[in-house]
Amino acid sequence: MWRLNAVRHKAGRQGSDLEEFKFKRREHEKELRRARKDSQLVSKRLLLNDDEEEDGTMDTLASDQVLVWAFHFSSLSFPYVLRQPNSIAILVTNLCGPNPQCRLEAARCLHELSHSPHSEVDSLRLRQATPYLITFLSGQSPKFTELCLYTLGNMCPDSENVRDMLLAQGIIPALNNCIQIHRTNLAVVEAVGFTLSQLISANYVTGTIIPAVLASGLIPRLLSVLTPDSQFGLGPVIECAWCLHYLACSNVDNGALVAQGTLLHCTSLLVTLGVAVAKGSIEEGIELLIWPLLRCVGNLLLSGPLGALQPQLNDSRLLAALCAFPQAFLQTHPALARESIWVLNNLTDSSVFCSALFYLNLVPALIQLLPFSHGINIMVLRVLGNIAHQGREYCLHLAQAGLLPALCATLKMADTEVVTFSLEVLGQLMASDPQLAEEFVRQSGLPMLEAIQYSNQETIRLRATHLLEHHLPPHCTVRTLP
Amino acid sequence: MLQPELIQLLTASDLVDLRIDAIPKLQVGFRPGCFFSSSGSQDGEAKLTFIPQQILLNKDHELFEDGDIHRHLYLQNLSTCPAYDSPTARQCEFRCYISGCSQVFSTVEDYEHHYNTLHRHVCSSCQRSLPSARLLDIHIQEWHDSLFSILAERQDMVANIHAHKRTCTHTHYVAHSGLDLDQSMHTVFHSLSPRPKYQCLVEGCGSKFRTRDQRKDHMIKIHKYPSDFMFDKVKRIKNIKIAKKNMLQKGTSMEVSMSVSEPEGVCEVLSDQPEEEEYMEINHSLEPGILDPPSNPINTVELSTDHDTAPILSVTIQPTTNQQRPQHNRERHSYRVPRTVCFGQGSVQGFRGHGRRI
Repeated sequence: MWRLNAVRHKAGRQGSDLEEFKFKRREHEKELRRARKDSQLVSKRLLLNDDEEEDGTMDTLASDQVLVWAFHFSSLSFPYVLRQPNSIAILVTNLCGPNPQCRLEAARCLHELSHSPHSEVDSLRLRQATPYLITFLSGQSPKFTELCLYTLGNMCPDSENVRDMLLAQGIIPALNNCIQIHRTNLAVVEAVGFTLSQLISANYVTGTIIPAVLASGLIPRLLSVLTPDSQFGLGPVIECAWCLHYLACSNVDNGALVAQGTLLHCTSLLVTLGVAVAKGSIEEGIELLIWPLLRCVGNLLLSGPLGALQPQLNDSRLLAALCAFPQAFLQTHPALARESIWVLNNLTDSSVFCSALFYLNLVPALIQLLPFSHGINIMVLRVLGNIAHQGREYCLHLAQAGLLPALCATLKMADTEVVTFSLEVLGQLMASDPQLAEEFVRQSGLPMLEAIQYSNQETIRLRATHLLEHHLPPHCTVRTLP
Repeated sequence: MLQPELIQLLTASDLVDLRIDAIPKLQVGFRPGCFFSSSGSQDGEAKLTFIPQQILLNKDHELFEDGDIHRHLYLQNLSTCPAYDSPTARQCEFRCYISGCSQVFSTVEDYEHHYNTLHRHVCSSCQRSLPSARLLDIHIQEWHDSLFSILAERQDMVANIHAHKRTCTHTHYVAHSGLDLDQSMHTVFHSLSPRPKYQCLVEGCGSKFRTRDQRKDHMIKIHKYPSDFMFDKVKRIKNIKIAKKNMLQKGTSMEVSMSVSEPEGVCEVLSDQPEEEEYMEINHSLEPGILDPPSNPINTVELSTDHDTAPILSVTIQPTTNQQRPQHNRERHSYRVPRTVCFGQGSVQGFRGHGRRI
């Protein structure tokens, strides 16, 4: 996989180089977070030129072709070059010209322009090229097509006008064609995925783009990429998965997505990844794939009643995988652990899945996640609350799995939201069966409730008092505050 | 890293039936008649409000932030580094929820130790923390029980008067509650009036004593407690210096104002020890040189009946509830009997003349 390979190479650096790299990465990460908060999170990709093909052809080039070379050699010369009259027109001419070499170079120039941060280089100038770029997507040359794709992909986030223009110029059918033609070429498939993801993830995506994508026939092609075939590499699968995530979270027509088999394919892939994780073969970068799949599945679960979706969710190993991911990624990517449990939350709205969790003995694994912050314990408490809400049998099973002592600990935690949820779950348990209330008292849980009554947080104070007044075994005498 | 059961589940052979619809479903719902109301208590206000809820997250939701950042770092070729510091999962901290406390701890054990030390057996009147439930009960009885304190003070008064009788030449009958009783009634009265009982602090002993000092002696002699054991609590003495000053000034005067800052009137004016939170205090009666040399070291309540020359110290025992004790007035020595004033037959009732030193 060429892109991840490049990164692995960087990671091989030692000593101060590594420190500097880490420092830069941290700074960069902060910038990205800031950008995300401002809804400005945008990335562009630059295709690295692995194969240097320029060799001795300069002498035979005409003057405008020299211009092309000038672009290529130094991005610092961009502003100068762009000030030349008709610079883009020249590039376009070469793009469509008879010389394949020049075509390639012109495409590369346009690509580098699209990636350039220079303010003088903007999509306005590049608009002249887009109809051609789109047309060439249906061409046969993989390398050339790849360049065109990445150029278009880099232009997508620039503005709403650009996206409207691309849509009008037929980018979606072109992408569909492209992925069909080049379906065996992983680099091109990845490029298609990237471009599509840029198109649908940009801000202020107009109401027309996503319905157009849904209607275009692209979905089945994206899904066919989601095969567990390791030969295909992670890159293309990652891009397609992120496309599916952006489609699902826009919630335009998730029913259509499900009807085309999205839920089935995504859950199958998640199970495969879960199996891989269980076997210990965690590939580098695999979390980049797990993330969008989790999000896609999580959101698609709301597309209809769970009972109707069940045929697509019939593999019980999905539940095991959703419990395995937090265990495997807790220390490296706690946010991924949290999202995995979020999917469980959306699943446990149904008694079928709650029963399955007990049958497969997965609840202890969830309870073990309760000490962890980062939103993880809150999400776990939601899941446990969902389960308890199903009824008395479920509450008894929860208690058997060791929930009561765990709640005694979460009641002491600093996060008020954790305590609130703990009190809610505890309330369900105690109300469902007096035995559980007795058990709680035996676990020395009463002093906790009494202590919480003295808190200055009203939410937990009220709940604690309510539990003490209404759900304790009759022989317990406690002091409740008036 | 992964638990064995999970591994087993995920790597199960194809022969195992993995279908969800093949799994038996547990019975849904609660027992009929079982009281379960998530809609709250009698006052109608919903207290427990949780209901299962599927959550839809849009692209820009904050829960998605870390994943998005990771994705974009990857797109910009900065994602993988073997030792890069990503946010790791933290264990939750624990917090004490007692209002006004709000300390935070990193382990449950630390929190529990804190709670048991400072909040468990707490007297709601004076906020003092006692080491055990039994000591808390004793504390409440001895310091916050109004009946107990009335009886104690009456007994002091009785002892006072008995002491006075020895030095006075008049005939006395103890004036209980202002009534003049004859001798037989007086005896009956004494036999009937209950006495406060100071319990031995050692669990399981059960002995009770008329005075604190007697209890203290018992504990030292029988239970081998050190004599500097903290037998009685120390007040939170805010103006201890004033108290000392008063004492030094007034020397032989009867008025010893024990300045107290707490509602209970009893104060042991001690050394500059910081306020104690436990039931136990150092009994400084054995430490010489703190107070007036000629006078007996001050005991808390016990009025020594054995020292003729001792100034009789009064104790401000305010029998009413906490709220009714004015902070400024600590000198309601209504029960003292000044040496120079006698009751009883033939005595001058009340003060006569001006400038009479009292």
